[in-house]
Amino acid sequence: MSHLTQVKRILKYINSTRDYGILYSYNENYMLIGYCDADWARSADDRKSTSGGCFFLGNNLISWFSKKQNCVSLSTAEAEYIAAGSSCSQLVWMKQMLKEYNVEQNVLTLYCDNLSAINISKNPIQHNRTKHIDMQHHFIRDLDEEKVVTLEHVDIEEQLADIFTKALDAKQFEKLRGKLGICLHEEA
Amino acid sequence: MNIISTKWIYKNKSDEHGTVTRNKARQVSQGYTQVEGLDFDETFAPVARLESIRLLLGVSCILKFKLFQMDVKSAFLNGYLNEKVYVEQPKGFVDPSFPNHVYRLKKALYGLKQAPRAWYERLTQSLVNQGYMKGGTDKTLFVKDDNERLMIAQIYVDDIVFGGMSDKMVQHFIQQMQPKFEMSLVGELTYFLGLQVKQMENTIFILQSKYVKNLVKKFGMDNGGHKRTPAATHLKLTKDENGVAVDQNMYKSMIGSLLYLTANRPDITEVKRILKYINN
Repeated sequence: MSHLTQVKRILKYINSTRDYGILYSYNENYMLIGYCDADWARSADDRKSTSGGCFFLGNNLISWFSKKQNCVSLSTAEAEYIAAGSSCSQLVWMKQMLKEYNVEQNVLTLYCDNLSAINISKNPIQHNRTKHIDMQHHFIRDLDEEKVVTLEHVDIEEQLADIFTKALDAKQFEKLRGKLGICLHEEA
Repeated sequence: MNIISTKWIYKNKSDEHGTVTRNKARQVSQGYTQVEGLDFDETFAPVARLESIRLLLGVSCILKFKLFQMDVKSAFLNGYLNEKVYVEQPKGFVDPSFPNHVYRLKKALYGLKQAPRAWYERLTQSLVNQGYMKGGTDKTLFVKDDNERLMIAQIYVDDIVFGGMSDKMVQHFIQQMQPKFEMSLVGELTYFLGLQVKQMENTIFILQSKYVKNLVKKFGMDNGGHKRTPAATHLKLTKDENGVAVDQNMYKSMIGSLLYLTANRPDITEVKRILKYINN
């Protein structure tokens, strides 16, 4: 497909949805949570994976990212584990920021749909399949041990970060978009 | 001694509807002629991250306070200079008796490398004197804790977004700031960095419909078709071998505008990667 056609498609999409925005609402719950996801070997050029994540204060979407990873992963679990690491640093930053507002947080929850990645974060033993993972990605283990962040499993159906790692069909795209709190003002 | 040249900049300012409201003429110094160590040392610009702004929106919902904004007129002119800075006389206003004289600046001019930092220092000083604490993580966030009653000010260069847990504190803040700095706008937060903000009881809604409207109009796409998603599933982008030559400038401008939009539209964040790929 021509690149110009793709750019025009994005313009058409934002034009069709130009009245959409992000809704912030009052909520008793002000826990910081995050969702992280990875699309393994997404890039056709260099087989690098894509990380994606989104972060909420209660129900309110504060931050999100979609980024090609810096190195090639050997497995989906590794790609997810790296995405979880990037997401943890974001959560910790948000926790520090909230402290400035005197809003204290307990253990932060990061949702991930890959059980192997969660297990790597909780299990310090070096396995053959994980021993090559770079040290810098393992700070997540410290955070887990110190009860700063805990990785929890989420069903693929409830995985809100999916929208940041791959192109979705209209039905799934609109469902996740709604769950992120992106809506029309009248729906608010 | 280094003498910095100056020039005039003329600009029309428009409001959120696109109507021209002001014609501005500003005397600026040409900072690229400055020499490090001689007439400037440190530089820093007080720019908040967009996530910090959204976090502020989220926090104001939790703590249930309304947000306000003030815009400091010609903010950079308020900063005091620590260095010896000389500029030539403004064009059109050269003293005929002393055409070879230059000015030594006490306060900053637009264009000087240290102008943003000097303004930030002046503003910080003023806020600290009022009992505000500078944020440890975010240097553009200022918080005053008056017996658990918070008052918050977030700085974005010359825009200040603020709010507090009591009306009295908010009014007091405005009264403190107004005599110190000239303000062009003080009121409820409605429009900030191209973002339209709608504050209601218990909710805040942010959107960028005006920016999008201008964007699609600029590229002649306002009568374009309707798309439910920004990208097709299983789209594979490869080098555009047999593509027809397109207007490079328009193309780059399109991509740039869309990339800017991704900062506040999570639904097109995933295609940012595509845009970056195409841009290269």
